[in-house]
Amino acid sequence: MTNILFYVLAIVALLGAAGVVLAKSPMGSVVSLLGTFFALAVIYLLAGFQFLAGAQILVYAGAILVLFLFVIMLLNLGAMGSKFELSFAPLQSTRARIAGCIALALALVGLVAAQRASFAAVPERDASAPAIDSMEGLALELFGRYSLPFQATSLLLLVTMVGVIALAKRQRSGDEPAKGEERP
Amino acid sequence: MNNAYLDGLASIAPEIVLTVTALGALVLDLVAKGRDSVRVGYLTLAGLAATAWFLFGQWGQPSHTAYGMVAIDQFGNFFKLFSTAALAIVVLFVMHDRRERRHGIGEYYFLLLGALIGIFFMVSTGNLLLMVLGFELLSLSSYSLSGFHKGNRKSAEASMKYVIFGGLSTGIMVYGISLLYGLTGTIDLAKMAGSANLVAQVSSNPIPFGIATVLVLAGFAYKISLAPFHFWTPDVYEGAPTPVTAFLAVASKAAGFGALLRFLGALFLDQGGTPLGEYGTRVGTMLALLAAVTMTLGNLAALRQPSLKRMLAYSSIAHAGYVMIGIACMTRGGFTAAMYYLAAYYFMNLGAFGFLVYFEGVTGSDTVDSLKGMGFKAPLISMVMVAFLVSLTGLPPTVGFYGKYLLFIEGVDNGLMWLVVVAALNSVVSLFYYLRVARALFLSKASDQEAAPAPVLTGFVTVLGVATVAFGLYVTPLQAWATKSLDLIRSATGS
Amino acid sequence: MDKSLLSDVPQVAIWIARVVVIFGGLVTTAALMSLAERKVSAWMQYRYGPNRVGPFGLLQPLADGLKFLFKEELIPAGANKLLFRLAPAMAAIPSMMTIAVIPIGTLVIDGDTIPLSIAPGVDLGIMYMLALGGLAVYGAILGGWASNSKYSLMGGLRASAQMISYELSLILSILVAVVLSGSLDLTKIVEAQSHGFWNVFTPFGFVAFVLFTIASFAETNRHPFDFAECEPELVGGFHTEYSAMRFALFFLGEYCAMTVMACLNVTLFLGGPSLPFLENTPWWLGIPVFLLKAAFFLFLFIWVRWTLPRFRFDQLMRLGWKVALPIALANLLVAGAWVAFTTKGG
Repeated sequence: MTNILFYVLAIVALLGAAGVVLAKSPMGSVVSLLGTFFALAVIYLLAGFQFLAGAQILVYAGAILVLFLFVIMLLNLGAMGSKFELSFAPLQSTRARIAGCIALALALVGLVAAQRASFAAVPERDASAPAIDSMEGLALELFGRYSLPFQATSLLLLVTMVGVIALAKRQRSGDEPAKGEERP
Repeated sequence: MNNAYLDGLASIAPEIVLTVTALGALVLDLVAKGRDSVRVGYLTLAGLAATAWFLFGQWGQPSHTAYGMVAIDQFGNFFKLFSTAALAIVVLFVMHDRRERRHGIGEYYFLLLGALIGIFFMVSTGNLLLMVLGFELLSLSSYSLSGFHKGNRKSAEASMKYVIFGGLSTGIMVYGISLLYGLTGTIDLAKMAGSANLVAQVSSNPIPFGIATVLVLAGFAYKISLAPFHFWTPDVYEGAPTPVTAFLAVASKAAGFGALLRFLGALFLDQGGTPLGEYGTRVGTMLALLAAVTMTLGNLAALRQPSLKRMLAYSSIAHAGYVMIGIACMTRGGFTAAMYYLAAYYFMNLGAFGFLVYFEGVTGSDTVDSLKGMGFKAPLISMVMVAFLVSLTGLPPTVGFYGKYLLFIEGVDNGLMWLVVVAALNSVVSLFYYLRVARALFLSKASDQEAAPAPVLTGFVTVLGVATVAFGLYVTPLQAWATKSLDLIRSATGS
Repeated sequence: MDKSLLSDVPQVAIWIARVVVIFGGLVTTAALMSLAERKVSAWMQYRYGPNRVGPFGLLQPLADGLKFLFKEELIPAGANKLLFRLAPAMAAIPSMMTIAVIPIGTLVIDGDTIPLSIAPGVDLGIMYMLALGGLAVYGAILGGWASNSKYSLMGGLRASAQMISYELSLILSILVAVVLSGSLDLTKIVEAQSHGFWNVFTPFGFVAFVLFTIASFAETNRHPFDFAECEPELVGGFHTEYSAMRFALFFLGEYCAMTVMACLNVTLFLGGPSLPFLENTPWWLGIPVFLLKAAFFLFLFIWVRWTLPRFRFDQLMRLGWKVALPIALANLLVAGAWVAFTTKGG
C-alpha cells in the first residue's frame, strides 16, 4: 500500500516538475510546482517525517510559492494566455536538445548507479534518544549536535537577506550612477 | 551536553569575531551620519585583525569542536589566515577605490565578511553538511557582491550568471553528497573513508561511488573554475566591482581548493594499496586531464583579451589548472606543492588586482590599451606590477617560479610527465599576454593622461610585490608552513 | 469496572459521530455567522435586519443558500476555467479542515472520556493548522487571477501580500503560546492551561494574544483589513466575477476561517474549555464555556467591522512589518528567555 502510494506520488511529483518547465504561462508553472510540493510533502509523511512534511507545506507552498504568485501577477501576462497549455518550444532548439540528451544520460547513469549500489545501513543511533521523526528528537538533534550548522544556516539567511536588500534597494540621490540608469 | 558545546565555542572564536564584526559594520553604517566607506572599513579591518589574533592563538593546537564538526587544525589555519589577510587587502582596495565611495557601503563590508565566514567553515570542517553551508554562505555573498554596481549592466549580468551557474552546480554537488551518504551512511568525511560498505562497494562495483565523486567534484570545479565549469568566470570577474573580483579570484578560489583538498585528502590520501587508494589514483588521472584542459583553455583565451580584468580572469582559470597538477598527484608532496602555489597565488594575484584598482581609478577603463605609457606616469606601482606579471608567468626570482617548480617536480615524480610538459608549454604561452601588459606600460608612447598619486594603495601593492619577490628568493618558511599544515589534514575526525 | 455504556458502540461510530458533530457545527456556525453579521449590524445601526424567514429571521441562511443554488453561474470570457472553478474550493476546504485539531472539550459518558475533537492529540497540531491555514490564500489569489479582471487581480494581489505579511506575526505569537505550554499539540496546550492559569495572564502571553487577534483579522481578510474585497475600490475584490454557489463557497470559507481563528485564539490564550482561576473545570461546563468564548471572538469580528473605518493599504503594510513583526519577535524572545531561565533542567 505504502509502496503503491509512493509510486503514485512520485509520478505526480515528476509530472508537476515537468509541468513547471513546459507550461506556457508562468501561472501554470506555479500551479504545477504546487502539485510537486504537495506530492513531496506526502512522501515525507509516508516516510514518517511529519515535521518535514508540515514545514514543506508551510514554507514552500504557503509562503514561497505565494510570493512567486505575487511577483508573477505583477508581470504583464496579457500575452501569455490564460489557459493551461504545454509548450514544447523550449525543447526545439538544438542547444536544448543537447542539454536534454545530457540530462537524460545523467539520469540514466544515476539510475544504473542506484541499481548497482548497495546502500549502507543507517548507523544505529542511541536507543534512549528519541528518533528524529518525532518533534522532540528532531529538536534535540537540531539544537544539540547540529546546532552549529543550524546557526550557520541562520547566518546564511541573514547574508542572503542583506544581499537581496542591497541589490533591490533603490539608490538614493548622490550616488555614483545617475538616476536614469538604475535599471537592473 | 550543553556546557560542552558552549565550552567548544571558544575554539570558533575567529568565526564569532567575524560575525560580530559583520553585524557591527551593518549597524555602524546604519547609525553613523555622513556615511562613507572609510569608517566602516576601519571597523572591518579591526575585526579582521582580531580574527587573525585569535587564529594565531590557535596555532599548533589541533582540536575539534561542535561535536567534531569543526576541525581546528593547521590546514584550516593556513587557509583562514591567508583568506583573512586577503580580505583585509580587499577592504583596503574598497576604501581606496573611488567608485566604491557611496551609500550602502555597510552592506558591502557585511557581505564580504559573510563570505569570509563561509570560507572559514568550508576549510575547517570534515562534515559535508557544514561544508556545503560554508560553500553557500560564500556563494550567496558573492552573488550579491558581484552585482553591487547597480547601474552597470555588466555587473547585473555578472550577478545573474553567477547565481544561475552557482545554483546549478551546488544542486549537482548536493546530489552527489546524497549519494555518498547513501553509500556510507554518514556525512562525516573521516567516517566516510572508514566505511566498510564503501570499501566493499569500491572493490566490487565502483560505478555508484564514481558517480557520486564526479558529482561532488563538479561542485568544487565550479568554485575553482575548472574546465568545463569555468564559463561563468570571465563574465563574473569582468562585471563585478574590481575589489570583489580580487576577492573572488583569490580568497574564494583558494577556499574552494581548501575544501577540495580536505575532501580528497580525507577520502583518498595515505590509502596506498587499499581499494580506496587505488580508486584515488584514478580520480587523480581524471583531475590531471581536467587540469590540462583548464590551463590550455585559460591561457589561449587570455591571449586575445583586450580587457586587463578579463585577461586576469582567464589567467586565474589557467592558474587553477596549474594548482590541479599538485592535486592530481594524490600524494602528500603534491598537495603540499598545491598549497604552496596557492599561497604564492595569493600574493601575486592580489597585487595584480591592486594595480588594476589603481589604474581603473586613474583611467576609468580596464583595457590594456589604456595603460599605454602609464609606466612612466606611475613608475613604482608599474614596476611592481611587472614583478607580479613575472611571478604569474612563473619566472625566477619570484614566488610564482618556485611554486611552479615544486608543482612540476611533484608531477614528474608521480608519473604525470605529460601534464608537466603541457603546463610548461602553457607557461610559455602565458608569457605573451603577460608581457603585453608590461609592454603597454613601458614600451609604448605615453598618453597625455595624468596619473593621480595614490600613496596608500601604491604602498601596500608594493608590500605585496616585495613579498612576491622575497618569498621567491627565500622559499623555506612558506614551504615549511605548507608542509606542516598538511600534516594535520586528517585530524578532522571525531564523533 | 462495570460495562460502560459506550463499550458496545464501535470506535468507528464514535469517530464518525465526532466528525459529523464538529463539521456540522462548523458549517452551521458559519451559516449562522452570515445571519449574525446582518443582525448585529442592524442592531448597531438601529435597524431590524432580516426578520421575515422563520422566527427572528433564523432561517435566513437557509433561504440564502437555496437562492445561491438556484442562481445562474457565470464564467467570464477569457477566464482560466480550471482555476476559476477550483479557486472557491481551495478557499473553503483548507479553512474547514483546520478545525480538526482543535480540542473543543471532553464529553464524559458513563465514565468514558471522549475528546470532542476530530483528531485529538496530534503531535504537530499547530504545524498542521498553520500549514493548511497558509493554503487558504490560494483561493483568493488563483480566483483573482483566473477571473481575468483587473479588480479581481488587484484583490488577489492584495490578499497575497497581506497574508504573507501577517502570517509572520501570527506564527510568532502562536509560538509564544507554544513556548509557554511546551508543546505543539493543541490538546497539551489546553492541558497546560487547564488549572486556571491561562496563557493570556502572563505579560508576553497578553501581548501575543493582542497580536494574534490583530493578525487573525488580517489573515481572514476581515475589516479593518479587508483590502482583498474592499467594495469602494475593487467592487468585490477577488470574487467580483463569481456568482451563485461558488460565490457562496468563498463566503463559507471566510466564515469558517473566522470560526477556526476564534477557536484557535481561545485554545491558545484563553485556556480552551476551562474557567479562569479554577483548579478544575467540570467537564459539562467545558464545552459551553469554550463555545461562549469562541462566540465572543466571532462577535468581535462583527463588532469591529461595523465600528472601525478601513485602513489604507500602505498603513496595513506598515503596521504589519514595522510594528507587529518587531513586537512579535521581541515578545517571543522575552517569553523564550523567561521560560528558559525559570524552568531548570529542561
